[in-house]
Amino acid sequence: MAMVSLSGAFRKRVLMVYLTAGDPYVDSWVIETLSEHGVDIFEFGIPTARPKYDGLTIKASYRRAIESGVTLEKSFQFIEGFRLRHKVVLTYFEYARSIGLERLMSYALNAGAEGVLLPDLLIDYSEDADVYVRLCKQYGFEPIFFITSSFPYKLISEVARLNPAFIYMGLMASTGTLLPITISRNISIIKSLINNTPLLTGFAISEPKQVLECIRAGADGVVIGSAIIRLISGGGEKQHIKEELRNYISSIKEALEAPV
Amino acid sequence: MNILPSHWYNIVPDLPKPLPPPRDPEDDYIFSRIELLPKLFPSELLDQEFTAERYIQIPGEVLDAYRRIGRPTPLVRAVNLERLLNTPARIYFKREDLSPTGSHKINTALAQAYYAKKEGVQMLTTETSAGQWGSALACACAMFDIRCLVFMTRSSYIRKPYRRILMKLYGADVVPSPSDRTEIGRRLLMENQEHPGSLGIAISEAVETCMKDGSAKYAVGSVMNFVLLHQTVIGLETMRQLEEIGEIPDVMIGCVGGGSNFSGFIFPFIGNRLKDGDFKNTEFIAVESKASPKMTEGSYIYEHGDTAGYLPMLKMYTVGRSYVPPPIHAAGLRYHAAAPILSLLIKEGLVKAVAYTQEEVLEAARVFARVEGIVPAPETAHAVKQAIVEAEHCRRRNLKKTIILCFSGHGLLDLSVFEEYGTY
Ligand SMILES: Cc1ncc(COP(=O)(O)O)c(C=O)c1O
Repeated sequence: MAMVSLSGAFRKRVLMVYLTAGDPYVDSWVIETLSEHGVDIFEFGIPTARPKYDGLTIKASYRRAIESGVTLEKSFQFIEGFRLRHKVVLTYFEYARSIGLERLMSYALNAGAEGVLLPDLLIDYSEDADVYVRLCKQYGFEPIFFITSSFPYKLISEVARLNPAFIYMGLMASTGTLLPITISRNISIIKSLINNTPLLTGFAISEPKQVLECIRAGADGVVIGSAIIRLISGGGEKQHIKEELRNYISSIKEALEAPV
Repeated sequence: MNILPSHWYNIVPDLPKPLPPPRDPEDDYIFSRIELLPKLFPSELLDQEFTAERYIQIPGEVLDAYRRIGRPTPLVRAVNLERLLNTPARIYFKREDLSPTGSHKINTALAQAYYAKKEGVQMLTTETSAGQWGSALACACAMFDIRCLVFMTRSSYIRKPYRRILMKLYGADVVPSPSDRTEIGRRLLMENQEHPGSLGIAISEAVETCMKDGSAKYAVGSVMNFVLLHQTVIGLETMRQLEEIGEIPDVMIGCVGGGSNFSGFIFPFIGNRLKDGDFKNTEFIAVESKASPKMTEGSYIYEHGDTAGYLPMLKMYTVGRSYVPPPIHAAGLRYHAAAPILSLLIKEGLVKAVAYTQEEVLEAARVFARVEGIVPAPETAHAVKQAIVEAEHCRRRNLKKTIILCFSGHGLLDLSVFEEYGTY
């Protein structure tokens, strides 16, 4: 179990890493290496055949997991298998609803996760946001909300008042897909609407200079997914990949902790 | 008062719900349409597509170009029409027909040509049907000195020689679509040498050209957020003009192809309602053609903007990208979908949609031309028809409503329509 609450992780800047639960490339040594070198929160995706907001890298990762026979239960067993500082579960609400949100929450709790992130909740199912918040309370989770730069100001301020562990801002239209968007402007606008609510920013972040840009604009941390999946699925010796992961994470951490 | 605004208005931060993001088809693991976007559009336009900013400064060069093509455009009271209809309502129309190419399309064409030029793009490609959009882009490309390639639906290419000539006069390269210049074009031509084409196919051809030619980018005439953004110059001007004469609109009307003129016209007003509670009693009415009834009969789903599916899917009211509407003269209204932002406002009940047949609207156009002296474009005739319906309703109920319509373009290059229909 975690020693501090999820929101407590934000006493310093946070690095969250996305991995698909059950992707054959996500070996235990991968997770251990990432954890040892300072990844603060692990975000585990439950494989789905309908990855709405994912780019090619994460879609491929989902597909590998499904093709290797990972089911809902197995993906939670996978998540349960790791003792980490913080774990959260990511799945689309569309899927959560089909299996039952409450069932998903109880699986998440049993697997030692501290929260459930549903990226399409406020976009396609805003009328179900209340149910989500109530179930979070019931299961002892702090809520987490996913937003984008195309969210109404009012809604952003409203969800900030629900005391989420953090708000996750998707910077691009889909994961891992870089578009020429001025992220610093969008982040600082969003940050001005949410007071002190921790803000994590992600989608297509791969380089330290992007991390700096996010932090300088007011983000409290970053999320990296596709870049790490590319690194572990690109082939090569385990020892070599380990080394690469270590170097990569330290370069990101260095940018993250730079004074602004 | 300065009527021409210094900023465009982005309604996205004020919408009642989050705008659903563009998406890739879930079952395609090889080709990402979203990844393709930077190859298609200049960076600054994509940045505008996803900006969280409410007001976006209009670049000086674009403002200057706006002035040179005749902005601000006048807001005129249709006194003769009021008298003819014997209505207590007051009818105003915003004259977007007064641009060099005769429609509102120039408002975004100038912006898109400017940003493309600034980024060193050599050529803009696009689609057009009746030629309103194509000629606006050709004009803007001429003004910003950049090459222009227009895929014009074959049926219009043959039937609408004047806008084709106009585009060529501006120096654009105009080809009938489907053409042999693209894969999708060649495939369709194989099936049918005389293929009449459609906007969806022409878009696919323009996009495919950019996928293969790194120095070309794609210019889009409607639907995308940034196009609607540029068109807000219409509504922002209208708002100031109404303020000057002390009018508050009761009804605002516009025609919808992809939704750009209507959205640009109403967004500043709807935005004020959502933000500050102004214009609470204003009704916003979108008028479409019964030939392509996406708003009144379509579904609110994710669909591609083009026939081939080269573009990402957007959540919008649509009759489906493979729907082939019957050929109507208001070719600009034959598009299969309504812009995502406009669709969201319809879904949320802030905008009402109605549809008319070609015969009904051409008759309205004739009536309007007879009394006001200005011939509406067949697209614009849809808005005129609804304005007349509203004004007649006011006569029956003795209501002194203020009706404002977006007069998106003139029909001087569509005159054959009236002859064909015998609507003199
Ligand atoms: C005069 C005129 N009005 C309206 C339209 C419809 O387009 P939109 O709905 O994007 O304004 C067109 C499109 O070609 C047009 O030429």
